Amino acid sequence: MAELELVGLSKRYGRDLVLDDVSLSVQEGELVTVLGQSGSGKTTMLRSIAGFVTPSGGDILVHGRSVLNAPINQRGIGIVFQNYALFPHLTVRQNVGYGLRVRRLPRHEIRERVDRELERVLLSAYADRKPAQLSGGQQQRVAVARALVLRPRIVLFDEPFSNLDAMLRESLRRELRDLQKRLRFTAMFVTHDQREAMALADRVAVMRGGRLVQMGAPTDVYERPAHRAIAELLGRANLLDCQTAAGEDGRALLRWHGHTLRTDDDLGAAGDGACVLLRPEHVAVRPGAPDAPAPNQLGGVLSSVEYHGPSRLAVISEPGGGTLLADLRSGPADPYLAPGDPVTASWPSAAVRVIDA
Amino acid sequence: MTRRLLTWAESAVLPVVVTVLVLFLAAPLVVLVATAFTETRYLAFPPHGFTLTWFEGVLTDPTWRAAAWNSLIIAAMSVGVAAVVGAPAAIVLARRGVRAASSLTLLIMVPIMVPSIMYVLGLMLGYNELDVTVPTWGIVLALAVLTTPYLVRTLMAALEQLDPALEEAALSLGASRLRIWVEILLPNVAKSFFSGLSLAFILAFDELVVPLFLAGPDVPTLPVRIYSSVAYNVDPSVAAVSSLLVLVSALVAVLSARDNLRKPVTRKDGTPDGGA
Ligand SMILES: Nc1ncnc2c1ncn2[C@@H]1O[C@H](COP(=O)(O)OP(=O)(O)OP(=O)(O)O)[C@@H](O)[C@H]1O
Ligand SMILES: [Mg+2]
Repeated sequence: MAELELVGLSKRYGRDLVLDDVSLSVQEGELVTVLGQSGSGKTTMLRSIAGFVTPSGGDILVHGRSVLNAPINQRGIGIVFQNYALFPHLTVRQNVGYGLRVRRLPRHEIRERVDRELERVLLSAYADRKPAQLSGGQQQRVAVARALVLRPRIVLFDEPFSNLDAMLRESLRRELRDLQKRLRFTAMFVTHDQREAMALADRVAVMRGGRLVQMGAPTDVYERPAHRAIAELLGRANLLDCQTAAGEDGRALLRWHGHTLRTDDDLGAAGDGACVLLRPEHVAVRPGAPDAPAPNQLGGVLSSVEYHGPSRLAVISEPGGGTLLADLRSGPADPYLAPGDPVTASWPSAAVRVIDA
Repeated sequence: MTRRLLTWAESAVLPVVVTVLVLFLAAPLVVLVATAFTETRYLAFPPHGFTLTWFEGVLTDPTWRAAAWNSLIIAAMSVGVAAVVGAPAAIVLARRGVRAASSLTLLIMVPIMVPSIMYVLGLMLGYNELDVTVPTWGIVLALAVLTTPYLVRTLMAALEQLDPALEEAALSLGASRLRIWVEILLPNVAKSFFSGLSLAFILAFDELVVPLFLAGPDVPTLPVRIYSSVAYNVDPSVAAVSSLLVLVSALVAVLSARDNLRKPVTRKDGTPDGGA
């Protein structure tokens, strides 16, 4: 049975439908990240689960039982807030022990459990400090410890790393992932950052305009986005509007600005046109014009190159007016490519993904 | 050009403000305090010679001491009333989503906006109509009405500054609403509450119009006593008393502001100030 289940959840603010019939289920010990643009309803969904927002319709089930009527302080769901919400007047130890004190546990047991939790998040040395005397990353850890010390079965995270710099986010992300797998709690993690969403998740839930538009393993949503907007949300994408045509061998072909694309995907359902996703990292680029026209290949002019360290983002203009992004891995022996150079771009047919919308 | 003008204006603001403050606030005080040390029997500035006689006289004179005692008791009681009424009002009004909160807040602020003399005249007429002399608690209540707005304002501002996520975090940890108020919210506004209390106390202690009109010379508070002695016989005692009054007010103000000045408010955003 699913640990957490949303059934047709909706929320209306005045005339705005902020959550629109969201249904999903999260398995025990699973970590689901929620990704979506600003205003897509991620926070509203999380706050509904926690009980801070009363849904306008639908149901929220924990272990198959509705929690809609359960008071917030009895839902037993842990929350880590974006700005940590540590109690400023209490020490780290008192912050972490707060939930245990509320539960009237014996003093020695509180102390033991708090100490163990602080050790787990590497903050034993800071136990007697106030939150204002900690760095952002340390405050973050206190917030996590404060929620986890109660051993909730479900923990919600609302962009908990968004105030931190990139390096720190990455290491905290890994620590959190470790901790979650070890303690086996069920987690829902809201984020803006598509890399974070994919790196952490067992499954990614993609929200758009209050609706859940796709949910699946990170590779699924990245490689097989259900919608062109999702493709763009998850990373750089070439979205090519192609015409379909019948090929000589009977297999369907795609045509884009006069170039021929072959795909391994089934084109049966597609009508006259189809949207194709071609990820920039699947496009290979070599200097010089193509020798002869061929499918899944085009000649063009390099219009710009952006250096990113491990890779370079090349923008290629083809004669028909289309542009193609290519992500080139940087290597020590890279051919030097400068804007204005003629280049040939090519890609395997497995990289040509037909998107429904 | 505009940019230069702007920076010029900006850099001029502080000196101007400081000058104005010194001229209009500090200068009269300096004159007053200096006068209190004069050896003459009349107010003289600059003072002739130096003596502590006037301070000694004032501190040992039973009428001055009684006046100070009256002021202290009346101010303390009115602040007590203001706290008992104002704190719950502020707590309720600061809650998000309370109906009619803004109009209620406005209502509480009315005493600040109405000239106190009008309010006091109204009270006097009322008491006259009832044909009773104003009891001391009448003065206390009138002062409480006048000081409550300041208390409510400071407390409300502090409560509204609090991160709403604090309450949500405590709720999610299982705490009851009452517990959250007592253990989380109130401790975080205690400082503001006490500075609101001291502000109210100073206002009540220094208030002239209310006790003057309501009590007359029967229960003279310090400001009333000063006022009448200025009217009847001007000698440097008045300057000495006033200096002491200024000193006490300043002490209370400094004490209540000290914590707020020294320590920046707890950051709400949680931005890191260094590596982890
Ligand atoms: N209390 C409220 N009253 C009215 N509208 C609200 C309220 N809370 C949220 N909304 C609206 O609901 C929509 C979704 O908000 P929500 O905070 O869930 O978005 P989000 O996906 O978390 O965005 P972000 O990534 O910016 O945090 C927004 O358009 C917002 O304006
Ligand atoms: Mg949000």
